[in-house]
Parts: sequence; structure tokens; C-alpha cells
Amino acid sequence: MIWGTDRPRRRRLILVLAAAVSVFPLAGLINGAPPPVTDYERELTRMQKDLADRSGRPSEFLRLLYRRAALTGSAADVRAAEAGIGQALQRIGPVEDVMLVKAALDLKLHRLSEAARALAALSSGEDSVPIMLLRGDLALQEGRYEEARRGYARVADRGARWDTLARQAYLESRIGDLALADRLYAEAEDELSAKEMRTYAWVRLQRGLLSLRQGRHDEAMVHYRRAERAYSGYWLVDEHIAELLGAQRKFDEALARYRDVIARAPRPELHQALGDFYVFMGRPEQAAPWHDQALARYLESAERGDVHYYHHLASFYADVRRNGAAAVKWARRDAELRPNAATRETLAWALYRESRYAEALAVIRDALASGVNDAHLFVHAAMIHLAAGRTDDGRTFLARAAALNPRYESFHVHR
Amino acid sequence: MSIAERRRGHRARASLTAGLLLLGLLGAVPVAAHPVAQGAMELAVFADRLAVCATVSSEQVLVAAALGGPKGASPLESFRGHGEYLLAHLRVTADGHPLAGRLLSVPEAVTDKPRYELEYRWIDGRPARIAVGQDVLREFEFTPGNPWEASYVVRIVHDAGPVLEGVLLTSRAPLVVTARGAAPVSR
Repeated sequence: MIWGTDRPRRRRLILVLAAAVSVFPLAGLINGAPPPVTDYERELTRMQKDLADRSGRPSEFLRLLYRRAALTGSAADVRAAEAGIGQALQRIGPVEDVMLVKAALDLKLHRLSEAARALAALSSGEDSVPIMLLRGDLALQEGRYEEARRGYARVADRGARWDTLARQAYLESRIGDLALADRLYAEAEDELSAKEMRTYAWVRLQRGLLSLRQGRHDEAMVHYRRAERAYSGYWLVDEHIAELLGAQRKFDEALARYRDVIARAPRPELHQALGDFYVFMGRPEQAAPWHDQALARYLESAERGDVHYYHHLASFYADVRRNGAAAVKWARRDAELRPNAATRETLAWALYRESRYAEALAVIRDALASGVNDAHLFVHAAMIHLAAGRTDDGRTFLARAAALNPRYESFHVHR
Repeated sequence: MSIAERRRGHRARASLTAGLLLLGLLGAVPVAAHPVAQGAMELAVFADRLAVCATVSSEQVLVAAALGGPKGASPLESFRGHGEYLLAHLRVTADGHPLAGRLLSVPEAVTDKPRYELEYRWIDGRPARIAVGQDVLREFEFTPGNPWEASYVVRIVHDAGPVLEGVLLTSRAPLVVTARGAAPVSR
């Protein structure tokens, strides 16, 4: 019963229709008409206009700054949001709306202690859904996975919300059951309205990633294409498609897509991804300038006192430069700030690169103890166990990686 | 606060939280990407021989030892023993005739960048065409029907031609070196 009590099906139908309508402007390409403005461009233009208006309350203006930073991911927009927080704190003080944005941005930028302080300053934390969710996010980043799970579950008990379901799905995808994670993402989709096409695209992207992590390339592409149709021009979707095209060895298409994304969103991690892709293709000379650019930007960020590229620096030195000592330095700093399974795994891999196998073994065991279910972790664990002379354990982890992602060897980005 | 105001506040916070999720929770941007086992190889063509210097990934050594090496070997034994493995899986021909290689050096310690030196001496003088192929790790399956693969970024030093860099040697196609240059041969 589509229009009766079957709400999820009805919503899904609306979303599909909305996605279909969104591709109609493609007809304009016929007869040489200019390419249509994308959904991304349209949304960004609207945000810029609203920001230029400055007619809303300070907290609304701040929220807009934050949303723009979330949309573009650009360093300049993130800095503008940070400046906005500072100004709002001066003008209206540490009110809930401002502190929420501050906590979220601190979390995004890996400043966990500042995020914790911002959340602690909010007295109504026990009852407020956004605060409960952000506390869950903080627990997740600090490696307190069960606490994050319980926190999200408490919010979910109050009623279905897409953002709670998506958080539960993400957590499940890391330390639980991948099939359940996909079902939770699907439920999150069902909670979305036809107006939330970017969010729909984002959820589809997560489902595609889940498929990719299991080596299901065709299925991943179906999700990515739906995301692309639902919300056009989004660099985040294009970047994922580029990776998948690389995994499918469609080298020219992948390169074109990466170059196009970088032109629109010149982020250092995308420079690195393109460099990595050139290395994968066996073209190290073409990789070098992209890698150099990425490293320069990571280091500039760290020199400014920012900490959110520590993880990238550790991985870059471990896998691109193969410089174990530098990798250990950055991985240790990151793990001290964010003691979770991902940072421990990166530290263990850095120690492996420095041929410090006994230490690497101790750290990777900590990471494994968290219950993370990921082929990347298992392959690293395998190599570390093998290097430490634990051959049987090494074989076991190789088998676990293969069971989880039979196509692990194809091009992939570690996220 | 009226019910209408409260609703507006809830809606505002709900949309804010949606944004928080996109920016805050999931780091969907890449951190690193890399093939599992890519090494580097230098081929130096001399009047009397081909010298091969292979710096392989430690992962290559570990996988080969775990899946095919002798039981109970220590990591150092595995790293040293990998030289013979490499010799067995590199195939060099001179004008179509297979050459027997010789292992010259293996690593002294377990290291992240183990280096092996091999050489192949010409039988009938310097050939016009040298082909280098490899099937390293291809006998081991990651999953059924999906074998491991090692590749090498190759630098060729050729006294009768230009230095070539960045040529990829995979198991799919041998690399052919002539006086005019080098290229993988498609099958």
C-alpha cells in the first residue's frame, strides 16, 4: 500500500521520483545548450547569498557558515566557520547553538579535548538529542565504542531519525555486522524527505562504501550512481566514483574524474589520492608532484597548529615516503589525541615501517581488541604478525581480510 | 517558550545535527591508497650481462614466506631465502633464449626495504632484444581464483640507449628492452 501505512516505501518512491526529475535538465545538453547548474552549485549559491544577507540571528549565521564548510570541505570555509564561532561567542556568549557548532567543528578537526569542554559547558546535555549525538561522536573518536553505541541507542529509543540511524550504521560498519550496517543506512534513507537529496546522496555514498569494502564493485557503483543522480555536482560523490573506477582498472576515466574533482575541491588528501593512483598505475614521475603538494599542505596545516592532518601525515610517511621514523612521529601524536582503533592501527603500521616489529605487534593487538572489522586492518595485522615471526596468526589475518574483501588488492583508498 | 517556538527550535537543531553528521562524524575523505606489494627494480644492461637490483616490498617477502616458505623459518631466514624465490620467479630471455640467473646478494637483516641483486650473463654476446618477465606471488591465492600480485616500477640503465624510468613490470606482460628503449609487451 504505497500511499497508506507503508511510509518507507512511499518515501523511497518520492526519492526515486525526485532523483529522476533532477536529471531532466540533462536534456538541455542536446543541441549544444550550456551544461545545467548542478545541485551542488545551486545550494552553494543559495548559501553564499544567505550569508551575504546577514539578516538572521547570529546563531543562524553561524549555522550557515558551518553548513557551507560541511558542503565544500574547503579550508577557507572551515576557517570562516571558526572565526564565526569566535565572533558569536563574543556577541552572544556560550549559548547552546554556538557551543554545538563549536563542539562539532572541534570534533571534525580532531580537537577532542576542546569538543569535550564545549559539550560539558552545555547543561542540558542529558535531554538534548544533538548533545547526546555529539557525545556519542566524541566517544567514537576516543575509541569508547560501546559507550557510543549506548548513546546512539538512547537517542534512537526516542524515535527514528536519519542521523541517528546513520551514526548507528557507521558504528556497526566499523565494529559490527556489515549487513546490519547496510540495513540501518537503508532505514536512514527511509526517514528522509524528498527535499533532502544531498543527505540521500550522502547515505547512498556510505552504502556504496560498504559494498566497496566487501569487494562488491558493481553494487558500489549502483549506489554511487544513485547518489550522483540524486544530487549532482557533489565533489564527494565524484571522488568516490574516481576511486571505484580505479579499482575497476578504468584508468583513463578514473584519472579524468580525479582531475575534475581536484579542480573543484583542491584538498590535499585528494592530491594524495591522485598521486597514489599514479603509483598504482606504475607512473611514479606523475605521482610525485601530487604527492609533494599533498605533503606540503599537510605540513603547513601542522605548522599552523592544526592537528587534523596528523593521521594523513602518518599514513603518507608510512606508505608513500616509506619513512618509518617520520610516520611514527605523526602517528604517535595522533594516537595521543585520539586513542581509537584507527589511530592505533596507523601507529602499529608506522612501527612496522620502522622495522620495530615487537612494538608494532603490541599496538596492533590493541587495535584488534576493539573488534574493528576491516580488511585493511587485517592485512596490516597479518604483515605485522608475519614480520614478528607469528606465521600462523599472520595467515589467519590474511584469511580474514580475504573473507571480508576478496578484492582488497585492487586500488582502494584507506579512509 | 511557546510550542511553535519549541518546534522551530527542534527543527533548527535537527537540521544542524544533520550537518554535524556530514562534517563531524564520518571522515569520508581519503587518507591513503596503495597497492599491497609494489617494489622497485633497476635493470642495468652491460656488454656482458644484465644486472638486476630489486628492492621489493617487505609485504611481498612476508606473503611468499607465509604461504610457501619452509615451516618454522625465522623472519630473517625468510628475508634471506626470498632471494632464491625471486630468482625462480624472474624470467629473462636474450633474443628469445632463456637465461639462467645468479643471486649475488640478499639482505643482512629484516628490513622494510629488502634488496636483492641478481645477474644474468649473456651466452652469445650482447643480445638485441632482452625480455624480463615475472610471476612473483602468482601461485598464491588471496581468495580462490584471485591470486596475489607483485609489481615493480622499473628503471633501466642502458649504455646503448636512453635511461628509462617509471616503467611498470607486472605479471601480465614482460618488459622488452632493445637498443631503442623498453616497453611492456601486451599479450
